[in-house]
Amino acid sequence: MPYRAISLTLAITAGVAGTVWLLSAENEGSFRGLLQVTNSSAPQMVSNQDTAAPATPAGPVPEPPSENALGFMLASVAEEYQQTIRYPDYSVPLTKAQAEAYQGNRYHPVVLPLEGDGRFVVTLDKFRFSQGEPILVVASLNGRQVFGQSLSATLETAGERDRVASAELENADPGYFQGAVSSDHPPGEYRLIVEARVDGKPVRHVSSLTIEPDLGSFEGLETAYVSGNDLVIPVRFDPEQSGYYALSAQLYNGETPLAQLQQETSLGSSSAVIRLKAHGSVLANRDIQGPLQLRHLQIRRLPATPGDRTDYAFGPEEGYEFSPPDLDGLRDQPAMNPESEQRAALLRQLADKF
Amino acid sequence: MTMKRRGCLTKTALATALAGGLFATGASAQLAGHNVILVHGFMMDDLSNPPANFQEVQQAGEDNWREYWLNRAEARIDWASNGRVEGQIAQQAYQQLRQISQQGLCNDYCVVVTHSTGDLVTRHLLENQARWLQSEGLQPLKILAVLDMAGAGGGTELADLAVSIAYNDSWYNWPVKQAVKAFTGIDPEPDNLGVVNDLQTNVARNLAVSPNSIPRLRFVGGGSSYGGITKPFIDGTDDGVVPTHSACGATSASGIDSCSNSISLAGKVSGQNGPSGLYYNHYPVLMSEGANHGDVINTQTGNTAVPVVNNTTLNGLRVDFASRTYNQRAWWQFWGSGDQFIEVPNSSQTSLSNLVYTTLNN
Repeated sequence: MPYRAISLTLAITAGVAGTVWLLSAENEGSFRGLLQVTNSSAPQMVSNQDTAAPATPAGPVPEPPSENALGFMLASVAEEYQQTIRYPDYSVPLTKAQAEAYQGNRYHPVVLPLEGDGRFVVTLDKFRFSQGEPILVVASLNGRQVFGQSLSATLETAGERDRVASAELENADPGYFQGAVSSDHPPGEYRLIVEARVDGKPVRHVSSLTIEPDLGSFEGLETAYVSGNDLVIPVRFDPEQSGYYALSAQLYNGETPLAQLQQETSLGSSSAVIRLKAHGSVLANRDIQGPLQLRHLQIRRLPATPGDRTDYAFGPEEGYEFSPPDLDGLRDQPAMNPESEQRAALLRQLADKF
Repeated sequence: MTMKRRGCLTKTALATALAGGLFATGASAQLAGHNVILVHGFMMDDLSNPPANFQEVQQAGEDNWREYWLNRAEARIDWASNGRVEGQIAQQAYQQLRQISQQGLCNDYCVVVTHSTGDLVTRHLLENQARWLQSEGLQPLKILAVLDMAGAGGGTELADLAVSIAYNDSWYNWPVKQAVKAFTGIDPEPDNLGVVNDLQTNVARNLAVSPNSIPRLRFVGGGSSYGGITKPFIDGTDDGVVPTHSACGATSASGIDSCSNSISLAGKVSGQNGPSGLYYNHYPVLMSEGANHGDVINTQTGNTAVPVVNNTTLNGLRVDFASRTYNQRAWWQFWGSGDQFIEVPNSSQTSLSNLVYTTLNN
């Protein structure tokens, strides 16, 4: 019996001590979880560039930053911006996240909440459709409601609300429906109305998409060559109409995004060559193996006057592959952009106050 | 984004508006020695009561900024929210860009301050302004930087919902409907949504998104608007109107909780659901968990600002953030050091806008 009392006392004491320790703020191991120690480990970096800052050249020891936290942030922005102006506007480096974002024509699934925790989600494979290509619609319904067995999809012009096409979505898997709506309609903005019956009543999920005019056709690449400190990639495009155009594309080496390339130019109505340029700053000192790929080609006819719509067309889904010329002559030297340099100097001047 | 017009047009105000969108307000109309241009956000009153003329648009723009920034700017770009970005809004904005160019207000670089949808409007203007102005023989505006307060350039899920609500019967999901009404100020109909159409996440993120060489400095709130009824319908954290993914300049519309992977909106140093990437030249600078969508441009105090510290090395020097941290013990912790927080010291004693303005003009 005495042993049992001693054991019980010990157990209670251990339990209280454990609870006290657990509730102590000193118990970093249990409570901190994902906490990071600011003094010893740098917070994880989220940056809009993937290039590391160049090593600080040997020289006088710089002054420590001031205690002004906002001043420190401005100085950081000035420093980071200084790194980006190394790249000309027509050839900027890409992180993987940026490569995904700047592919263009992306569609994020749109969620309509239903009563309780139910969800009505519509997903398209893109936001902009070339006139005539099918609009593939995938819809899902979940929740504790009773859902009807079929869904309908209707395409309506955003302005006049003319209903131009409709289709039934088929039940592919439980809760999933899919189908296609025609996009063979005049260019412009449209609303896609997907209607379901939820607990016996109609619920409409509505989102926007665009149908783009036929701007012309991509006719492939001409032979790439080096000019100055640029790799020049000539893209053949046969425009339907004259106008001021911007061509963009992403340069890849295998699965590695190298740069976002862009060129603006005025085009007549006859076949043209638009020369995309990849600057030495995004190519030199890179381990480039084998062929290069030009992916996610997108051409925009820019609005001639304020209020005009921007029109879009897209290159072949598989992009183009080409063998680059000898790139050894390219140098990782900063581009010269007087306006950006002046901007960086002003930002530095601002940050130097802190 | 959803600022209401205050009061009616008075004769004096109308006269001021008629004098034009540009106004000089003395030496304080600059930031760090550069002229300031203001671009406002979504005005919900324009949906229920569309402006009869451009003077009303200007008056609303003036009222929108009156509390803090109005007298600290040299010019404004005002636009009516019942229009579309690639439509009437671009036309109205361009008329003011022309005047700014003709007056040479940006010859020595301007700083543009945007609020909410002004982020999206400015993005469209920056992509096209040089070509439009040059075609008329005018000088493109030189912009030093854009300060985006609660930027809605990535859209908001509330706009996604507004478009669906416009097509559903009155019985539909009451809380969603109330959130949309709070955001838009109207019972949405298919043809009365104006710029809300452009704020759908997919529309916004497919509008003028090419990389741009002008730095966008992002200031992000996390407070509550409309009594909190909109928050459940916005992915991740938000300021009651704009999701954090948009305000930070994140490359994806997926919900996130902070602009940083390691600091919360409140400044707590801990693992966060942050952005997987940021748009080119987008720099989140400050976050403030307490500041709601409107607070970021007015004089609201009491909200601590948090620096979005992503890079602890500057000029080759490693920064010891211990000097800028304080400890806060959670309610359930009896004693000890508690969690670590990072903040801008004394920031709760001033408004976010004043903190930015006074620091830059230091």
